[in-house]
Amino acid sequence: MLTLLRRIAPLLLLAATAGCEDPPAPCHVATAPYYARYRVLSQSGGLCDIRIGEEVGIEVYPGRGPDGPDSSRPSIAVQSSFMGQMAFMVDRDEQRPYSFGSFPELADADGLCRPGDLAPADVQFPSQVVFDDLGNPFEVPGAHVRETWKDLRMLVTHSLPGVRFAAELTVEDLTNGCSVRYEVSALSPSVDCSSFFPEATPGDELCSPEPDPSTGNPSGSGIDPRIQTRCDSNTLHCVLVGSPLDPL
Amino acid sequence: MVFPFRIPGVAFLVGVFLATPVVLAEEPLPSGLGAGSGARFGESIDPAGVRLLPLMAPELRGGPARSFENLALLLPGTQEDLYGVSFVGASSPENTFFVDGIRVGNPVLGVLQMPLSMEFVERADVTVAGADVAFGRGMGGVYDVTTKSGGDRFHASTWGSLAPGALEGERPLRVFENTVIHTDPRLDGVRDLGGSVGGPIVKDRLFFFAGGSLARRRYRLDRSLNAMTWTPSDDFGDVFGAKPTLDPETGAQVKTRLAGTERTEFAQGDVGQWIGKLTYRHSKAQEVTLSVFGTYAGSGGGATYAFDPRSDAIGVDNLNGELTAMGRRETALTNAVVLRGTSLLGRDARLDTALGWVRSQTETRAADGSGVDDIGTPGTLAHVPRVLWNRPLDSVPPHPIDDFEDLPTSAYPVCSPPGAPILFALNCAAGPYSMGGPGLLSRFTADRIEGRAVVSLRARGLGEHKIRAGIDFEVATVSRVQGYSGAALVRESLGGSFVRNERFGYLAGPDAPVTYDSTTTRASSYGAGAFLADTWRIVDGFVIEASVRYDAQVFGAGTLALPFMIAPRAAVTWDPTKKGRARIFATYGMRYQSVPLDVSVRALAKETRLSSFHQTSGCRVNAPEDLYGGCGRESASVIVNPAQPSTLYSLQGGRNAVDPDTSAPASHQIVAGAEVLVPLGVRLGAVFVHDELIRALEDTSLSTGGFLIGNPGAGAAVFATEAERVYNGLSITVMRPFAGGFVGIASYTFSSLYGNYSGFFRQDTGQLDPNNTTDFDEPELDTNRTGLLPGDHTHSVKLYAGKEFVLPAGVILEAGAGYTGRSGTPYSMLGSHALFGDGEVFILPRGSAGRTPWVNRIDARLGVSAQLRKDLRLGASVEIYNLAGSQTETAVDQNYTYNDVQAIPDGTPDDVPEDLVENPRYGKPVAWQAPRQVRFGLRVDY
Repeated sequence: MLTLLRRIAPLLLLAATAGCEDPPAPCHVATAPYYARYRVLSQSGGLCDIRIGEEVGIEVYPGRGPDGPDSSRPSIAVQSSFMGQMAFMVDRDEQRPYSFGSFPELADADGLCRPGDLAPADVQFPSQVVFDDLGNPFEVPGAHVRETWKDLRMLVTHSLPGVRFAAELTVEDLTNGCSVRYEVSALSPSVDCSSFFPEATPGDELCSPEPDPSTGNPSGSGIDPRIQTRCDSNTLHCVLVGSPLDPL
Repeated sequence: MVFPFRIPGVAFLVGVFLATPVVLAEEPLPSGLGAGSGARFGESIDPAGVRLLPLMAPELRGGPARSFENLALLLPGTQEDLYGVSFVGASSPENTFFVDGIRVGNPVLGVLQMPLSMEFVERADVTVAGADVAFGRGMGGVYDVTTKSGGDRFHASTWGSLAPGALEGERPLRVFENTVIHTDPRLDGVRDLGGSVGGPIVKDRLFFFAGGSLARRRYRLDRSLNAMTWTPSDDFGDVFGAKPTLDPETGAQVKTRLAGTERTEFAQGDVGQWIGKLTYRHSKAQEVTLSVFGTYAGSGGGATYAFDPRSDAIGVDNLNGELTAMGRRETALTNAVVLRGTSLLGRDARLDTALGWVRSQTETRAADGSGVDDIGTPGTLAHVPRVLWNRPLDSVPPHPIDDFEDLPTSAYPVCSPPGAPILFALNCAAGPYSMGGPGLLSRFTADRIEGRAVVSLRARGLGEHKIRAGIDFEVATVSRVQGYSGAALVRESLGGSFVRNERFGYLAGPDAPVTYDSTTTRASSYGAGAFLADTWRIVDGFVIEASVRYDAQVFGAGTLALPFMIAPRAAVTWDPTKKGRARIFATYGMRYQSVPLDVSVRALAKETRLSSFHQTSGCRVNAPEDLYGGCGRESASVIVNPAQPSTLYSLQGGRNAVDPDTSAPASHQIVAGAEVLVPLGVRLGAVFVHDELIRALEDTSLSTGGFLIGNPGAGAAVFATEAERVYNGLSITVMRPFAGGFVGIASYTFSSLYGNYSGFFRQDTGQLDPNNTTDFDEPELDTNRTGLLPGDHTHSVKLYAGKEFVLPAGVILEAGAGYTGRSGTPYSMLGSHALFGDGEVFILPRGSAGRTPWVNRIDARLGVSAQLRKDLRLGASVEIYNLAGSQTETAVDQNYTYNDVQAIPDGTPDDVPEDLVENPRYGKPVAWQAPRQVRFGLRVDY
């Protein structure tokens, strides 16, 4: 009896003190894609295609352990839907349409989950044969696009996992030497708030998690009710009011 | 007679503890746990004292094995639920089951899977409400069972019974929608045989008791195919130009039996029990016992179907599949070893200790006996994936039954009448159909080591004090191994061109799956507690009790810690007669829940599954035997959003979090009442119970797809709805313990159960998952979920009486009868949710749509016994359950509509929109009380 008590006592003590300081929240990311709103920070190399926003997917993978997954060494992949769609036209085994790097298991002292350096996504289209007006074939080199994600940060708590993130994205079109740097503010799930009727104005009501069939929102947006959102008229998607790193 | 007296000087064999010094001073009660608190609501039941009463209905959970659990049904404030007996509004898995001083409930789920026979029980002390602090944590009722010990005289008994299916009464016809397959269960037979022997080894010093029993239960499953009838229709909503022809009375589709399609299958199960006990009485003041007891329940396997090991119900609802897929072998073994000691130290002190180990092993295997370890072994059913075919009736014609089974030629004109435009596939649709292997296989192995010590002393100081102090500890570990047969679960999807594969595994990178045949999860829980209690008799007849209990429970690796649980308890008892003939009492107690391991195994395990869609044309789904591992990558289709890095595989499960501020679930309980002993040995009583949940421990889903374990409504789970469960009940009781050949137990209870939390299992769906049910999962579905809970039965009447008639020549005639009547259960009006599916929206407040009718049951028992020789008695009996053959419904279809609807907060039936398509089966019965059954018994006692 006494030896058993002696063994249990430190466990109980640990349990008692475990309550003294909050253990860090796990770095869980959303399963549904995020909608990322872009703001141009700088551009170089001439007239570039500017993106205003798109869906971005994030997946976190455990490490491979000796017998099963090792959740203490996760990795992360970040992919824009542009790259994802482009990747359908090439062999996915040879190109990498997603950014890949290491990711922490638990949030740091500030409650942030930040990946390590992310290797950029890089897709090279094969060159295509095109015919000119005279019927002569000539080769058009395929586009070579590289996306580099930097400084990705997610604020997580035990009750609110990583459904928002802030980051910096650099898109380089290496065929025409164009490079654009964006500031990214992203929210999951991605909700389309364009109204069914083209003349009507897009509505903030469609971003509400409360279902309301009268406004065309029968099942609610799925966005966490603690997060403030508005319908962005340029992208017609629900975006964050404020910074993705605002505590709630 | 063979009913040994245990309490010298007290003629009661059914009696409640009266907190008067007379009882306390004279006899140390065998359990040593419940001694000392007179202010509780419960009874001490001796199975021998209630043997005249019909208590072993064959269809009751544990009935074939004569489980002691059902003794509690005699008491007010209890009722049977799907997994056992529910006490004052709590669910049955929340009960605490002590046998010989340690707990024998399943460490993972809390249910009692050891249906120890009443024949081995000397006494069952059942507390309905107001339990003493010595019983530890627990929010339900408390059973404190002491097994027989043998005595100075040698005794032996054998018994047997038979409940023939031929004498079963009528069962109402069941309804199966959208399928030709129809299965009707009927009792084929319940038989049991057992024996026990007990006596002295060394006179006055060493005694032994041993016993064993075997019970077999068999049900017929009469299966037939019945063609559906349709009427041509031009309505827009009727997809194939036809609407079902309905029977106006049942709301079900009219069907025609296809001749030659009838066949009978069987569900069969056995329960074996054993007990061996040695009692060493060192002196009048010291006693040590060593007992080993357990049960083994095995069902199914070979050509028979299994019973659900947790609810004891038949494991298949409808035989819509092949035997290889629907058949299972289910086993549940529970074995306990307990060492217990009682020591009286001087006149004033007493020490009770118990140390025990309980092992539970439950296993689900395929019909050929192969289990989760054989998934990689070719030639076994465990190596074959389960394929579920299902084409819901919306745009693609359903599977006709001859896609899966051969039909007799006479069936074709019925399924496809000449000249009728209705499709063959509509008339003779198979509905969901399973082929291949059994699907999920598992093995749970749980061990619990428990110990407790209670010391009680007497002291003087402004009256008499009885001070008790105790400590206890518990270490529980569980290992769960599970896997899909054939390493994959295959489901027809998206109208039939695709199948969905589910496999245990994880993604190591984008579209880089790592899969395995089976996963192993280990969880453990450590608990310790201590209590201090004082029973203070200020003056004669006036007693105050005050006690406090401290508990701590930690789950393995500190994942969930409940380190600080303080539970106070206070009670006042006044005996105006000062002679133990009456008492008026009031108790307040706070009770913490004893959290079982399920939350750790299910929610905190990091087991994930991979889901992928495959083209049917590229995968050999028609030959499941060759489909080990599911469909290959070549046939995988892109199903995910192009933004996601993985396009072929998606991950399910595994992203769970625990709120570090989680507090242990607890409830307040107030009991107040009065009891008086009137002439003829009758006790009249009135008791009021108020049980209120303070907080629950449950999981809520996070928007990322994982779950958060916490207290809904508080801490990190503050966005979830707070849990509520309030029980109020007033019981009037008339008890006449067995004496002079007569026993009578009568009670009437008026109660209400209100809230949004049923307990460890969801009453609406039967999902047994303590702290992990789908309750509170989605806050947006919680509108109207607070109301009258399914366990609410406003009125409950229980009348039991038994009498012996002693005839000349040593013949005794026994007559006993019981009547149970209670109000029906409230039901709700459910609709479909656009995202979450059918039955998820409560259109009106829960329980406000109506109530099922009053259920009556009359049971009777007649027996005759004769003295063959000096000590040998032979008895025969016949018990008839549900004598009147009542067929009252106990549950109805609650789906008002399958359209997507909104909940109407505080709505009334007038507020319900008129344009909804009403389900013709709404409000129609789906379950009925058990039919009339007869059980013959024979016994020999020495």
